[in-house]
Amino acid sequence: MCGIAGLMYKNGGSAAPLGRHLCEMAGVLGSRGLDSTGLALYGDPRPEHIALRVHLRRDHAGNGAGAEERLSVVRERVGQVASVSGVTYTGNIARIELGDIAETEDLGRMMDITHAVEATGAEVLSLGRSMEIVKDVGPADEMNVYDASGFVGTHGLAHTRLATESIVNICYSHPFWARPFPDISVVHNGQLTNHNKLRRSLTRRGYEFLTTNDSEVISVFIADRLRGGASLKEALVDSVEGLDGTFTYLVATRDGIGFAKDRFSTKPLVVAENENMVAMASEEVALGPVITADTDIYEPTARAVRTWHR
Amino acid sequence: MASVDARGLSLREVNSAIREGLTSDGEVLVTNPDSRHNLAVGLSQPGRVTIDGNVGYYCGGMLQLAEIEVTGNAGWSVASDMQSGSVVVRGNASAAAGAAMRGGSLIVHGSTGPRTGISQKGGVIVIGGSVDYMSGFVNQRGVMVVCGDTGEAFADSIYEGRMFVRGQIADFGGGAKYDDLSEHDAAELSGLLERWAVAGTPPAEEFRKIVSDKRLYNFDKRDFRLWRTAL
Repeated sequence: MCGIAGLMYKNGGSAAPLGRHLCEMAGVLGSRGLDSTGLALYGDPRPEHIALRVHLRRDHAGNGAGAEERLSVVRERVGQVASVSGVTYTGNIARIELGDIAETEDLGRMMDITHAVEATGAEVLSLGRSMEIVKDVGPADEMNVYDASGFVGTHGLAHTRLATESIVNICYSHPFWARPFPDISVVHNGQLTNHNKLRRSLTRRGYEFLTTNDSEVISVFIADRLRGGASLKEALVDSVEGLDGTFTYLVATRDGIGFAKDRFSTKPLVVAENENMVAMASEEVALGPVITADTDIYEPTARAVRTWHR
Repeated sequence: MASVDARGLSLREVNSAIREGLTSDGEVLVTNPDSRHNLAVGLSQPGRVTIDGNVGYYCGGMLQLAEIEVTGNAGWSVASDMQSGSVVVRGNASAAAGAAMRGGSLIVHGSTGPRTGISQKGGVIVIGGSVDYMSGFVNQRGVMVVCGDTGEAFADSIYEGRMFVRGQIADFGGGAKYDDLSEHDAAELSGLLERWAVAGTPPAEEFRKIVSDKRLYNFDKRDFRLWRTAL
């Protein structure tokens, strides 16, 4: 069992209290999983900028080094491939902002940046022009240290994890970034049975994975379909047959959000929609913070897929 | 009538207040359920409980004697393991409504999710709208009435129960077949539809009856394909 939630404000909403709403929803969904909590937060993209969220592992860049020292090693290394315009950190999580990254930059460049960070032993949790992933082990109220509830933005995802198939640590928590694709993230409730096969197939085609987690495979599966020219909806429809196992998952891109459910409808999802927003959650009780009296609420069926775009 | 405002109370406080209200007044109104789980579970005394709004998972579970009405929607497994009494949902209900119920009546005026009535062992389920994927799975006894359509794999591995469906059946699961609607069936069906006033009380003749074809009663490897859908 895990809890998943998604939210998109339909009318721009770049000043909307996205972080607060998603934190509240994740708090309610804590009963479905307390070992990790995470959010993918999307705002208006800043031209030519990229934000990285980086895990400064305790055992990299010299045992005993403080987070600040480890961050300076990362900063120096990434500064060799891109121009660093800002660095902050909370605990072992750093936020690194890079400038002069043109819209036309390709995936190879994103890989170079990711490799530069990871050459120091740190781990990249997310890379995006409009997306930032904030996640950690522990329940939602322990996420306050990252100030996620103060994030204003347009759309996003939330996840509360009860680990069933891989270890509990920050890298294995959701949302998963579809490396190296900027701004694509996934939260998943369920277990895939063919993720090793899919990961091998995607690895042969040059993709890389941070973890051996099944849900990370979904993110790259979807991103690869989008890269091949599929619409978000087509990619989700493909996944219902391509993924084997139990799943209800949510995906977010720079301007879209969507869900897909497995053929047995094993995992729950409730969708609430009105003219201002669409919200989704594993349980209706988690929609309380965002729904109003005029909100339509429904439950999608087996194999259902739906997308929304800003 | 006793009244309980669920907002701000713990689940245990809400359910205790419902039981106390049934004892003192015989009738309880619960307001602000806020889609919370496990409301009105384990009631075992007569009386009426009205929950004004939407409820979460397992509402009315293990019910005996009492009559519960939910004015909104219900989450997973409403009225699961019900022994007697009744649960009426005015809106829609989610997956596994009436799971493993042994007696009593579950009435949903809207539609229900997948696995409606899974492992039903008795009692009556009446759905005003449609039921989703794999509803009626391993039904062992009892009656299920569906005024709308069914999803795929309907009545898979049904044993002794009877199903009545008015709309389209997407497809049967293994071990189910149509049967003739007897006079006894029609009278019982009319009685249920009138009593619970669902879906504008359609005439019993518009329903088709589904029962077990009994091919899954004993394993025969020639029926392997049939078993594959069941397992």
